[in-house]
Amino acid sequence: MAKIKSQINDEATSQFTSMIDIVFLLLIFFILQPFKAPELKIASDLPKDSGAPSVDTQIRQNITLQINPDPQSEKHAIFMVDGRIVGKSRFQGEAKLAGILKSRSGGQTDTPVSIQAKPNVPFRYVLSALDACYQAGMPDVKWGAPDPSYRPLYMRK
Amino acid sequence: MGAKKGRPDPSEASEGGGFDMTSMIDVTFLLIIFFMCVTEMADSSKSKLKLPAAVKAEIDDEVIPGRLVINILKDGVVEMNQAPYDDASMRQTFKMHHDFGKAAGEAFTNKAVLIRADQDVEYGAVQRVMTHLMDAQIWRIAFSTRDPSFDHDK
Repeated sequence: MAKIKSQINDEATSQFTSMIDIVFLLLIFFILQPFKAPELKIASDLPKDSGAPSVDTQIRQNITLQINPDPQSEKHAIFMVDGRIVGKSRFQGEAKLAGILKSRSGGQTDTPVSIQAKPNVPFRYVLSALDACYQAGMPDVKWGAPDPSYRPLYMRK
Repeated sequence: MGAKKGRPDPSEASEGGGFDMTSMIDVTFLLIIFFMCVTEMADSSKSKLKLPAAVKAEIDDEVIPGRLVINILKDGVVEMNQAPYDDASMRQTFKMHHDFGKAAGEAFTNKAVLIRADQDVEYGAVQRVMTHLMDAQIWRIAFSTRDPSFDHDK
């Protein structure tokens, strides 16, 4: 009788090893998974230069969002909405800018926003502006004309 | 007399020289999972850049075969598949991509070209790429961004 009991115990304990292994593997996988930052994307359409602009675009008033480099600090850019300075922005200034765009449009979220940035402005500010437009629910973004005389930094070195 | 002659019995050899591989396999799996989680999967189309942050962005998990991924480095160098491109080669590549898209059909042309620009690159360098895309009649673009909630140095 005692022999049968010990056999049962032996069989029961020996089965746990692989299960514990798998549990640990899953545990480690799910612990480490949140640290992997996913890459995101924000979509936009480029202007089609062919054909006449639609009547709708002509009637609606554009909001012009200008981005100029701050001569005092490379870490900042000066944002102007319809010619008025709305402040200097750091990385997380989009919410404030979105609020300004919203109030400027008077709640008409289909109002196009024309982003006109100087070529020497760091790209993060232009993307902040685009992000602000999306946050304001105004995805109709127009891009300003490029400066034909611009040469990238590696060509100027 | 006890010594056997001839070929050894394979069953005896396996019993005597057998290894317990369990723990080695465990450790190997742990290492595989660790590197899968910590490092990003190698993607030759994506250069190492510091992407700008955006709140209203969507996860780029769509696998699009043949999608054009344009990398713009901090000094304005344009790279595709780890190779630098000048204006002429960019124009040629974009034109070819457009022609290929036209042949492939609307489902392909509606997919956005991905622009991965460093957050500190001058906007003029990005505009230069955008101009070449417009010249090649490629209108749909998407900018790669990073999720600010993953920033530890906020």
